[in-house]
Amino acid sequence: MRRALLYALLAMAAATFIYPFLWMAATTFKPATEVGTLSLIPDHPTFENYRVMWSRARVGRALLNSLLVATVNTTAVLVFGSITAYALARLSFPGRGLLLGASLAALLVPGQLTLIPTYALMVQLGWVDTYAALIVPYLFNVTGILILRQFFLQVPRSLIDAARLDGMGELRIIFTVFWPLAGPPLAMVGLFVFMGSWNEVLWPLLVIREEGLMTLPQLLTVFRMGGAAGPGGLAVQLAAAMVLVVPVVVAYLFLQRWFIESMTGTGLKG
Amino acid sequence: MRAEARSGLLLAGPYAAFLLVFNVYTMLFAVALVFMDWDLVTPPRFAGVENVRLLAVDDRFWRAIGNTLFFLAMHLPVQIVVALALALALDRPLALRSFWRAAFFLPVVISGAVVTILWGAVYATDVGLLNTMLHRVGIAPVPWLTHPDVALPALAAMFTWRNVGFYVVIYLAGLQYVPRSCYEAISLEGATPWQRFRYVTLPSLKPQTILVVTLSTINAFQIFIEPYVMTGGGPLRRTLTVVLYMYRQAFSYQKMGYAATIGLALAVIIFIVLAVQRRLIGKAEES
Amino acid sequence: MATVSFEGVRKDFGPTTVVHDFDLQVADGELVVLVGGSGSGKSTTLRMLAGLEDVSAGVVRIGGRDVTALPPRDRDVAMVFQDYALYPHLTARDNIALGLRLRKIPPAEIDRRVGWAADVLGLGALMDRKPKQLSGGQRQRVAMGRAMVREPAVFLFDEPLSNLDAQLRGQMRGEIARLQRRLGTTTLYVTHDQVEAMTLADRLVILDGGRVQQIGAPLQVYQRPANRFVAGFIGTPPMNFIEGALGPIAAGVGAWGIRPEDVTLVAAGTPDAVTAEVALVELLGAQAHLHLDAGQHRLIVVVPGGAAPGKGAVVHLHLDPARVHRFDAAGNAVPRAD
Repeated sequence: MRRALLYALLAMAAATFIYPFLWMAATTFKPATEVGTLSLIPDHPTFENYRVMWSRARVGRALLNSLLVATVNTTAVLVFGSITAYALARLSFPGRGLLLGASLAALLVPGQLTLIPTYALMVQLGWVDTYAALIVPYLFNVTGILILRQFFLQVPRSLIDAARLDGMGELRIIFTVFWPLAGPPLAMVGLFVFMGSWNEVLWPLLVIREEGLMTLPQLLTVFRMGGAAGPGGLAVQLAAAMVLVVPVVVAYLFLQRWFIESMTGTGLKG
Repeated sequence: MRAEARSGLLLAGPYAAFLLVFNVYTMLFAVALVFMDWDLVTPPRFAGVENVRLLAVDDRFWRAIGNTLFFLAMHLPVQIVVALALALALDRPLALRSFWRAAFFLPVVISGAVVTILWGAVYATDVGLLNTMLHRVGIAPVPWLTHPDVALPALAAMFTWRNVGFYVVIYLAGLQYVPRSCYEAISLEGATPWQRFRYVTLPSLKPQTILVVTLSTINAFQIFIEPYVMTGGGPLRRTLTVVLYMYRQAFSYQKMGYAATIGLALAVIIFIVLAVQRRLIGKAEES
Repeated sequence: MATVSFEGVRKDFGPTTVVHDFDLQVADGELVVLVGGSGSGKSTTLRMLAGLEDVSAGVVRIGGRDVTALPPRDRDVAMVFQDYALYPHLTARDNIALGLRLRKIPPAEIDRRVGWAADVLGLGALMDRKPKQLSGGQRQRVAMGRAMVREPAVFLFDEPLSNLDAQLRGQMRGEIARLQRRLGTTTLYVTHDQVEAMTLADRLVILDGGRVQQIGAPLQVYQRPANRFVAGFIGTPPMNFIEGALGPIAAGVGAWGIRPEDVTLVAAGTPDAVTAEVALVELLGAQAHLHLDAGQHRLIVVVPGGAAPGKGAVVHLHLDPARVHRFDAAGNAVPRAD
C-alpha cells in the first residue's frame, strides 16, 4: 500500500518534469486556434508553425553554426586538453606546480568578473561577429584538463617507460597509449563540453550580432524577443525551441547515464 | 630530465598562454576597467573611484541584489526539501528507478534558452499552460510574469524546476555512502523514521547540502537569460538581476567601466554571501 | 661488444643522494644481478642505464660508447618490467612487434623475429590474445618476447618475477636463465630476492642505501662476505650473529657470525659442545630449521629433516672455528688466515 503511494507520488513528480515538454511538442503541431489547450494530441495537426519558423529566421544556418562550434570546441578541448593533462600529470618541468595552482584558482573565479573584459578583448582583436570569438575562449577547459589529469595519473608509469624504450615520442604516447585507455573520461569530458557549447546562450549574445553567425539558442532568444505576439507566434517560437531541444532529448534517452555522470561527476551506480 | 622538461614546457605552453590571456589578463583588465570610463569606441577616460562611488548609491544595483537575495530565500529551501525528498524516495530498490531519475534530471540538460521559451509559454497570460489549467477549474488567469509581486516567485519556481534534478542526483550519490550500520544501530535503539532521518541521514548529507547551497547561490547570482527573455527585468524592475543590469550597462549604455565595476562588486558579494552561509551552517551543526 | 660500464655514477633527488659513486664493469654476455632491499638504489641504477632517469654525475657506457646523454630509444637496450607494462589494447603479437614497427624494420623481418620469440617462449597459441586474457606468467613471457625481438645490446630486468606466485617464480627463473645463456646477451637484472640473485647471477652486486657493498660471483659472496650486511643478506636461513663468546669461539671486537649449516648437532659430552634448548622447529621436508636458545644467545641451525629433535629438547652444538666470520667495529669482514 505504501509502495503504491510512493509510485503515485513519483509518477506525479515525474509528470511535472516531463509534461511541459510534451505539451510544448504538441503545441508546435497545433493550429493557432488550438494553441493554449491542454491536449497532447492536436485535433488538426499541422506543420504550419514549422514552416513559418523556417521562413522567418535562418534556423538551418543557426543549427549548423551550433553544430560547428560545439564540435570544434569539443575536439579542441579533448585534444589540447589531453596534451596538457599529460604534461601536467607525467612530465616534470619548471612551473608545473604553478600551472596547476593557477588552474585551480581559475575555477574559483566567477564568470561575471571576466565577462566584460573578455568581450572588450574580442572587440580589440576585431573578433566580434566571427567564429573565432565563439571558439577561441573555449579552446581549453580547465575542469576537463583536471579530470583528464586525474585519470592519467593512474596509468602505470612502467607503460610510459616501455613506450619510451620502444621509441615513442610524447605525442605518440598520448594518443596511442593513453587515449585507448581513456575512453570513459574522454567521453565524460567530451559530453559536458559539447552540451555546454550547444546550450550556451550568454556568450554568443555578447559577441555575435549578425544573424548568419548566430547559434541556435541565441537565435531562439532573439527570435522570441522580436517575434510575433499572439498564440500563433507562441507556437512558432516553440517550434524553433523544438529544433534545439529534440536532438538533445533523443541523445539523452539513450545516453542518460552518460549525461548525468558527466554533468555531476558522482560515479553513479545503476 | 632535461629532455622531459623541454617536452613538458612545449606541451603545456599553449595552455599556460591561454590561462594568461583569458584568466590573468582578463582579471587584471576587469580591475583596471573599474577605474575607467570607456565605451570601447572613444579612448578610455581615467575615472578614479567614480564608478565605485556611483555604484554604492545606485538604486537599481541594490534593488537587483535585493531581488537576488529574495529569490534565493524563496528558491533555496524549496530546492533542498524537494531534492532531498525525491532522493530519499529513490534511495531504495525500485522499479524504473533509472527512469524516475532521468525524468527529474531532464530539465538540467536543456538549454537555458529553451527553458525560458518553454516557461514563457507556460506562464503566458492568455494561452499559457498554467492559466489554461486554472481556467479549467474556474480560476481567473494569473498574470504570472506581468504582476510585480508574482514575477519573481514565478521565476524562482521555474528555476527550481530546472535545477532540482541535478541536486537529486547529488543527494542520491551522497545517500549511497551513508553507512548502513548506522541505520541499524539507531534502529536498535528504537528510533522512529523521523529520528533516523534527523540523526543519521541528515548529518551524513551535510557535504551534499553544502554543495547544494553553494552552487545554488552562485547560480542564483548569475541568472541572466531568464529575466532577459521573459520579463526584461520588470515589471517595475522586480526581476532585475545583477548580470542583467551589468549587461544593460555594457551594451545599452556602452559603459564598460561601470559594467566591470558591477561585475567586480558581484564577485565580492557572492564571496561574502558564501562565507556567511558557511558560518551559518557551522552554527546549525553545533546546535 | 656489448659491455656495460658505470663510472662514478651518482643519482640525486633534490638534496638526497640515492646512488653513491657507482662503479661497475660488465663483460659482454655476462648476467649481473643487482640485489638489495627497498631503497637500496638498485632500480634507480638500472633505470639510469636505460635512460629513464637522468644521471646526476658520472658516465654510463654501452659497448664503450658514452650513452649518458642519450634518450632511451637510442641506447639499444630492452627492458622487462615488474608489472610487464604491456599495452592493454594490443594483442600479444602487436605488443611484441610494436617496437620493431616504430623502428621501421621491414615487415618480413618483424614476422620472422616475432615468430622466433613465440617459439622460444612457447607463446604460439596465445599470440592473438590481449593481456587481460593472459595469466601472470604468460604476460611475463610476452614482455620478454618484446625485449627479445629488439635484439638489443643489453637486456634489463626490473624485478620481473616479483608479481608471480612462488612456484611460478621458480619456474620462470629457470627459463630466464636458460634464455640468457642461449642468447648470450649482456644482462642486468634487479631483484630484492637473494635466492633469485644467487641462482641467476654470473656476478652479484649487493647494494644497501645506495652504496655498493660487494661485487663478486655468488659463491664468493656467500663464502667470503665483505661486510656484515652482505653476510646477513645472502644465505637462507640468514647467518647467526653472536655478540660475546660462545663455546670455543672467543668474543670479537664486533659480533661474529656463523652460518646455520656450519653448526652441527653432536652427542652429549663432546668436548667444546654448546648446550641449547630447542625453541621452535620449522620442518621443511628435506631440511629442518631449529631455532635454539643457548644461554642468552639465539641461533638457527639446519639439520636433515628426518633427524630433527622436538620442541623443548636439549641439544649439543659443535661450532667450527674455521667457519666463523669475524667483523670489525665498522662491520667490515676481518679476513681469515686461510
